Amino acid sequence: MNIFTPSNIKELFEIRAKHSNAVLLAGGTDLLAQWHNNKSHPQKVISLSGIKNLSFVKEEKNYVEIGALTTHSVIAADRTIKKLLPVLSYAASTIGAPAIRNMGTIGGNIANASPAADLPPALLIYDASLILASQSGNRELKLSEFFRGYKLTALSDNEFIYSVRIPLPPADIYSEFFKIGTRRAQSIAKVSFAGLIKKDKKGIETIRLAAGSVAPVPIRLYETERFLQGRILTRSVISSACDIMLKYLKPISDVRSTEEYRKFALKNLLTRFLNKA
Amino acid sequence: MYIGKNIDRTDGWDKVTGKIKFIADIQMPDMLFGLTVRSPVSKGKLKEIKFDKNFDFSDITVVTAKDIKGENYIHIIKDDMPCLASGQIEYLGEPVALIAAKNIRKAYEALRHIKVEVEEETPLLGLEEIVKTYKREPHSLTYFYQPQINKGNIKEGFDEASYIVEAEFYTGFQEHLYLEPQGMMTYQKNGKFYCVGSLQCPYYVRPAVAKVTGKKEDDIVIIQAPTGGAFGGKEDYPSLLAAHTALLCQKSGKPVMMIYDREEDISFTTKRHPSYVHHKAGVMKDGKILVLESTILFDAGAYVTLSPVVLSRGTLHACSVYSIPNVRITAKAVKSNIPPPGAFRGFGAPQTLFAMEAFIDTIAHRLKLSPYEVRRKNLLKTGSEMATGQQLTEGVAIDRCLDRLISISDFKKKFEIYRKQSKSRETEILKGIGIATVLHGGSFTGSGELMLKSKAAIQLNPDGTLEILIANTDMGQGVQTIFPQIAASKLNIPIELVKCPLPDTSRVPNSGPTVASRTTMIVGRIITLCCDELLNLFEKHYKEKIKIDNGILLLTKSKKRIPFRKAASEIASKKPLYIEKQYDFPPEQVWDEQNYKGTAYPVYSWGAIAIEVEVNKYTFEIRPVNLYTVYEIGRAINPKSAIGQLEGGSIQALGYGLMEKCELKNGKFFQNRLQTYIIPTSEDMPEIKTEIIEVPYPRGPFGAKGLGELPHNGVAPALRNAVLNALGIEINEIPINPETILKYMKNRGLV
Repeated sequence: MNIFTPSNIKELFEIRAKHSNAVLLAGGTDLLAQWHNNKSHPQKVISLSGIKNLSFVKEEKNYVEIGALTTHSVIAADRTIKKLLPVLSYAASTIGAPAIRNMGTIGGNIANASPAADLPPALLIYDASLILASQSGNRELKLSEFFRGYKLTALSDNEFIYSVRIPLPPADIYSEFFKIGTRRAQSIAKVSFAGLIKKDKKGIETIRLAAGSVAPVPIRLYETERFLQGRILTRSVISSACDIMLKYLKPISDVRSTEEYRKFALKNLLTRFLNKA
Repeated sequence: MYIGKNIDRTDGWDKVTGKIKFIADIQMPDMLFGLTVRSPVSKGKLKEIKFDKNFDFSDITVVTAKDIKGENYIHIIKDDMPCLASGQIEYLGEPVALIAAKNIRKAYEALRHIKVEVEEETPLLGLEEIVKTYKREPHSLTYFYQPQINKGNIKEGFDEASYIVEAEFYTGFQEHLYLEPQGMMTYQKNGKFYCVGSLQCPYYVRPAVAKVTGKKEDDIVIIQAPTGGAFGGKEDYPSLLAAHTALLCQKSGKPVMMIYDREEDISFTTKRHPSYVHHKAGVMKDGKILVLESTILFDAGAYVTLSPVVLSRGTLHACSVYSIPNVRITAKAVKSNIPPPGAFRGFGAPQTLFAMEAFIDTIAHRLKLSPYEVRRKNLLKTGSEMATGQQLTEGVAIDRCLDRLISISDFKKKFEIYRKQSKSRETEILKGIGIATVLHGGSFTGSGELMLKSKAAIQLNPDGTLEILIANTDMGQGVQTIFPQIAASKLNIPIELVKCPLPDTSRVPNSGPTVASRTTMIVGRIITLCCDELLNLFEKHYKEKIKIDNGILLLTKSKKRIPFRKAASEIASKKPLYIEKQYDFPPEQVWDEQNYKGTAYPVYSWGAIAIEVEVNKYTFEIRPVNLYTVYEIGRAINPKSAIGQLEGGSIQALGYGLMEKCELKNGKFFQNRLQTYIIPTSEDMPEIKTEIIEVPYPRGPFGAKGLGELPHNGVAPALRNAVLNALGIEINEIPINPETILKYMKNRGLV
């Protein structure tokens, strides 16, 4: 294995230009396990850990920006994130166990594009975008448009994830993240759910819903949101919202759980969320 | 002197600091690394092992069945399991050839260039399939073993009973998940084979290697390497692994090591037998059980291996701690096409105890009685007769365990509160509490110890140190600490003088396998006999009565005081003094294997368990909150170690009941990695309160009985009973994970 260790972004671009098939390695918590399981690894790897200034949390006027190499531990403990984006903070704290959280990064969690990743549902309800950097400049892409299919992303060969930009959520919202893992720690989600809601006298003013492990990618539940928008929550509205949600999701049975259970749990998590809102 | 003291583990420091060398840490010059070529299908005829012509196999050692100089089977109970399959394939992953190369990478590369071609036949896979077939056409199945227990008259019992209660129970596979995977190395020196590895029973491995290599047993030396956990998983499997490394070593002339990686280990080594139990009981209105009729099926896998003895223990524990006048138990070990399941802490008892302890609560639930009262009504007492006709003449402590448990767990009050609370709609969390009362027979079943004729020895060295020479292995349970405590206390000498090295068959006599909660109880006793003999020899040497007090020999007549070290240098001046004794099997222990009548075990250890859970109504996630256990184990030689065993075993059993799922998909284990085979972590732990009750067993060393397996017996049924208390539904299978609850709720139309 050839390992490249750029120490700044300029070097990273140069290496990427020469070795377009090289794999980007951040914390390695997913990739190393994959290589071990497959008993094979890529020929060329670019380790990002030497690049300075890619781990940061910045609070701007309208958004919070988190550098791609920021670890889950940092995100879970960061005061700004805890205050402004509590759902993200909590989601980060549910990942793996301390050792994993100390190594794993937000950029890696997104780029790995696992349907079971813990951060994306939280980021999706905050309407997060990614800053994708390449030699020709940066572009901003909504996270909801980044996932293109099972383990497929919109990242092109010459790009890397520079940061995640999260607009500040509206005031007076209720939001939560709920992860059903295979156990209480060191576990991968069977189902995860994130929701953000703001109600006024006329009904639901803002609603954003997202789920993990129930589709090929972490997914925003747009149809359900559209249905709920402007409505007053009644038992029958909640029940219809659940039906709509399940119509658009196709969870599968796999090594961790069953289709039946995933549907049941998701329905209950949405119901529970709307009841609490 | 050291009994009942929390002596630190002698191996502890080296293990926690990483200083100790496990087998994978050992290197020898020219050592090769071996891998196994396996069948890709579950059943069929082996057609060909194809070696890619374009790959250079010149520096790869290859062994197939044709290379076997001895006999091609692994000696366990029956000699039916081939060392390397050559004709018939009986399970997916069955070894058909072995390869060895200079390093792991090279070996894996070679493995990728070997294809195994099998003409497929229809396999029998999975407990569900077995049960279905058993109900339809039982004669079409193959049974490795079929014990029966008959007591009283079941027809009369059913005629007299007020109610008939019936239920079926299922338990799944459980993987040992010892921290250290299977590993073995074999090298040759002076015409002998030396097998060093992670193992439980050196004297099981020795004849197995001798048979396969065609050597005499004396030419095979088995040495235990420090072993990172076993739990029964290294009882029989190391015989196969040692045979494999020995064959590669025999062919290549070089040392050969085989270390399974985790996936290979989970996929192909032994697991706890899946079980099906059907119980039908005739019960009086007050909960008194008049009759129990049971069918027990164990999925025994492709070969006999240990299944008959596992099923035997399962059958003998099937009535749990109850005195039932009329019993008929029909048990069968069914052949199928999965890797042979094997020994696992509890050895069949956790399966049948799950069924019986769940069944007691089913009876209570259906008759609207308290689970405590139903237990109390039927509990064994001193003088009771077990299903085998064994009279319990002393030391029945289950009533004490149960009453103490009820008091420390506040069971009665909580049970009633939670039962009512489960009707409420408001709360997100439903609470439940469940109990189980269990037993575990110490040492080998029936006449097993008589046939074993275990021998253990002590060796007094001229420098005054004393070595304990036993074949029993420390696999994390503390043999190397407990045995010096026993010998030092028996002789009344400083414990620093006593060492208990890991076994090496060229040095230690055959004190039997490290299984069946027998080591302390049986082998510990033999060591006390050796110590008595040493005192005799001192008395002969000094020609007067001697007492030893804190390392000083007191000659009672001449009033001389001789330090133990000095006495040792006198009595063992020319060469070390070796004292060997054999287990003195109690003549009153009579067992009729044919009719399953008599004394199945010389003594039982007892346990009562309560677990409190919280079930999330929205997700059916179960959180164990409190675990209360009360165990009666004769005497805790080292209380800290004993509690470590009891609590560790409880957690392993909690995993079994709560989350450890291993599904069979087309003959393959679906959950075969640490990421997917889920065991509890520290975050899943409930608060644990463990109490030990001591009713000394007169034949045990300082009163000690077996305790290693006991804690695996009661936690899973207590958990199931707690879920019944919380949700009001009878779940009759484990693991009880959210998916299981959902399935049962759906079946009952509750969601």
